[in-house]
Amino acid sequence: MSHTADAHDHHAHPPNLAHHFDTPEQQVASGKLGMWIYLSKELGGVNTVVLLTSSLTMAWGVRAAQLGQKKILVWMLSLTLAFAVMFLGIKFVEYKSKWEEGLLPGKRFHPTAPPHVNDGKGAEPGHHDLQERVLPGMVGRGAPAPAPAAPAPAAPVAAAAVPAAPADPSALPPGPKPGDESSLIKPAADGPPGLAVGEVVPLGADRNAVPKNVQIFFGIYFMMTGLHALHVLAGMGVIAWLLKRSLRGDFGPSYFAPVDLGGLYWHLVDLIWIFLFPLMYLIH
Amino acid sequence: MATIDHTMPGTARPGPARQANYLNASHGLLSWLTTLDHKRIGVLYLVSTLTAFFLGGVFALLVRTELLTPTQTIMGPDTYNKMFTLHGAVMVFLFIIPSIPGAIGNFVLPIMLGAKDVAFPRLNLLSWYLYIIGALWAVASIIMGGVDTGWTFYTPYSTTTNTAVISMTFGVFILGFSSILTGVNFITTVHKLRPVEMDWFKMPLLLWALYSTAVIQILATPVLGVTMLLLIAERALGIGIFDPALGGDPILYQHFFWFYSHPAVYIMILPAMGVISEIIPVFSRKHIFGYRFIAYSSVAIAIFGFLVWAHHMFTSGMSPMATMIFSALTFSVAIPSAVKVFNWLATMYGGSIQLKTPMLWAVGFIFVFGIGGLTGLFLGALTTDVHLHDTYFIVAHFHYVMMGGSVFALIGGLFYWWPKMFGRMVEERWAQIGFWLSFVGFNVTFFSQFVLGSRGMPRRYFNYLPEFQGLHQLSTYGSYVLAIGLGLSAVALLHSLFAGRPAPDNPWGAASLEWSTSSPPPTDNFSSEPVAGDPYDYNELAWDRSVQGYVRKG
Amino acid sequence: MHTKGHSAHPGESIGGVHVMPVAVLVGIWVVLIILTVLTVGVTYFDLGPFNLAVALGVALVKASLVALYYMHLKYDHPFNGFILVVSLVFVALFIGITLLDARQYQPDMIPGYAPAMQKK
Repeated sequence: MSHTADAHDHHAHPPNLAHHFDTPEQQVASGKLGMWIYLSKELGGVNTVVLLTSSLTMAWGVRAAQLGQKKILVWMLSLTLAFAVMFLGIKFVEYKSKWEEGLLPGKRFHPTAPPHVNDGKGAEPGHHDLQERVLPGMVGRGAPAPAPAAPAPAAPVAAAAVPAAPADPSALPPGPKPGDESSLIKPAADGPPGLAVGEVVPLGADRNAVPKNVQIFFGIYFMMTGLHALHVLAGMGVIAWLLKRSLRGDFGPSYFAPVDLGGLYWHLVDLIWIFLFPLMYLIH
Repeated sequence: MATIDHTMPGTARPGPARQANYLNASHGLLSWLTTLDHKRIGVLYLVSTLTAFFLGGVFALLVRTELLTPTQTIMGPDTYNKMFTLHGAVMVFLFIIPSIPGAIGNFVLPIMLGAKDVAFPRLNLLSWYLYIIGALWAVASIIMGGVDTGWTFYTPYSTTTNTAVISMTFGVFILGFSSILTGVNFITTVHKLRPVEMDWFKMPLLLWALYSTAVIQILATPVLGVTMLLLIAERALGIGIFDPALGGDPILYQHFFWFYSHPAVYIMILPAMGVISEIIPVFSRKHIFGYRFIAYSSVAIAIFGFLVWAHHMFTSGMSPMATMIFSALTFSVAIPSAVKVFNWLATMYGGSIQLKTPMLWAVGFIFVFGIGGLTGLFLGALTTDVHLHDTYFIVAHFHYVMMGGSVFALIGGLFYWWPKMFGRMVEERWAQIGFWLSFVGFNVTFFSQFVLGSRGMPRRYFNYLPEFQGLHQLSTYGSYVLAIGLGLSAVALLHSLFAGRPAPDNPWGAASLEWSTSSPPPTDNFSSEPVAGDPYDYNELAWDRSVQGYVRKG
Repeated sequence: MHTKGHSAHPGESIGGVHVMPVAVLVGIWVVLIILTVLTVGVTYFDLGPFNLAVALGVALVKASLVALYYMHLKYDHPFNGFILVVSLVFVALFIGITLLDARQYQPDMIPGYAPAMQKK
């Protein structure tokens, strides 16, 4: 977190390259990433409030059903549904911005360089530090060919396994050299032959490109929030069905179990979001 | 499902005048497909899981036949990979996991409680439909060319192979929901529909076992669902959680998979142990020994079962510290398992044992489960596992536990409750010959695999060294004998539907509540409110020649 | 489904079922919102290793409030709460042990040594 916050500060002084960045482009990209993480925090916070409020209206709805207050029940269920729609709307905005920034999971992870150099067809040479970490052959849309100056060895045509340790250690990009592994157990020299297809990025080659583990983070982020969103959708279906039945006047002091149970489900969706929010939006 | 009509003995043959029961309460395929009666849903599960058993068995025989010679025999290597994958996936997900809870549990659990039905009959039917939908997805993957990953779907191979992994794993995902719904139903039913006079320690032990199983089903199955979803997302979208080429972690997949699939082993074996706990005392004519120990050991197995999953991963590259911890924890499961076995033996000790078909399968269960359990200790021990991992030793071990354990108990239970389910007695002679052929065939098939594995024959190999051929052939011939034995048992069961003599209410002299109602039971299970007593007290029962069954004294 | 509501709480009770008063519902909501603002606000200060602990601690308090009041667990049969706690314990067990192990073995992994995402 502090890392990206620093980058944001430095962003205000273009001529200065912070000591921990290798290139200005890297600094700009890190700044962008930091800004988006900041924005997503705001959106996540707003969405938390929205979902908590929907839990209030749902609990109030259960109370109304227990007391046979049909009008209040209908209102509360409608409000809950409206907040759920709002939640998904904000979620959509969030996903859309990440889509545009290329912050997509896994093989589609492709953080774009600043817009003024990115026309959507790929970045110019010089911004390769963000792209080279995506291995050729598994890049999603608009994958650029590696720039000639790319430190990662070989072109995609070299399908045969590339040895993990190039002959000349000085050709390696900055980062740990082979033999620097943090483990005492040395990895098998070349790995199983024939397994690696395409290029092998040497250990730590991209360590400074984008904050570590960002790619895997967005994989987890999309899976977790996506699964949660699916549960929201299911909950909306349940609430809509409850709304229809409450309009018909099905519920009252002697029969409110469906509202009660639907409410429990909705609160659980809220409960999970309460934990997802700090894990996905606040901690980096 | 067309076979359902034939499994309605009440209408199949104009036998003696029968009172209204759940089989003849309504007619036609539709009445079965829309039924909310737990007994009919149990029969639906029985027919569908046994169909899956047949399918998986055919795959198994094809695999064994291919292994008759060291090189290609009847199929190519790619087909062979698909055959053993389908055998494993169908047997585990479509047969063993749903069979005992779905078929026997659904039929027996509410009646044992003296209840009219499970707590949520509609969820119960939904769970069967989810099973069918999941099964159709799995079948679709077979039609689309099969899967060649092995039933564990290990990454990164499962995310890169070009076979129909997505439809199979999606099928498994749906089957998980079916399993969860069954678990929810059983727990709620045991809690809320138990009669006041039946406290927890007056429940038949099968209910303890099914209850513990349901706890596992509910707690573990969601992890399987998430794992399968992640795998599908990994394949379809390349999210990069498990693929090392994308920064992912393939060992993480194994953690996810085994966190479900190890407890799933207890989903398979716990209900089987419950069935055995019912059969042994009845045919020993003696009260169960150590009731509370057997009851608590079911709960203990369910809890310990969650703490040992990584013993499947000792050679996967996980941390040395974790391998040691999990190896040590693995031994804890041996304790409650042994508690059960010793209590069964103590129940038989001094009893007047009647070797009817259900008892034969139960005693067979103790024998093969003993071998399966004890060989598990070699695999749980870190040092020997490194040598035996991924050899035929492990194949033999888990077949002794799953096939010899779960399936023996299922078949024993089927013979035991068959008269109650369909109101017909099975011809003992053919059923017993079927057991002996199965028992001998089973041990020939799989004991030779222990030897193969300890000599270094790796599992899942298409070709093998010529020195292994003798044992491989022995194993294959054993599997043919096993198939004939199982076929004979099936014939005996089916034959009874058409020609078996009508079953009395209590043919075996059992004391749990399902034997106090008519055979087959009426739709509401009991014509008058049953009174639950000690389910293992046989002193009040006496043989009555006129009904060819047991009746209460006095 | 419902057992008798405990009378310790000044809530209305209909047919033995506890009904949450509006004041309690809204009061809980206000507390939840304050806690949310607190969680976000705390991220502007770097507490080092306590970042995670504070965030999850506040989340736990919020979750407990939702479970106890909105989900009625405070007035429900204790067994229902037990089920919720047990399932949370199992989630923690699974995630905890898996992540602990992953931290140990991940340094040994060789990046890129696996088939790339290529379909045949």
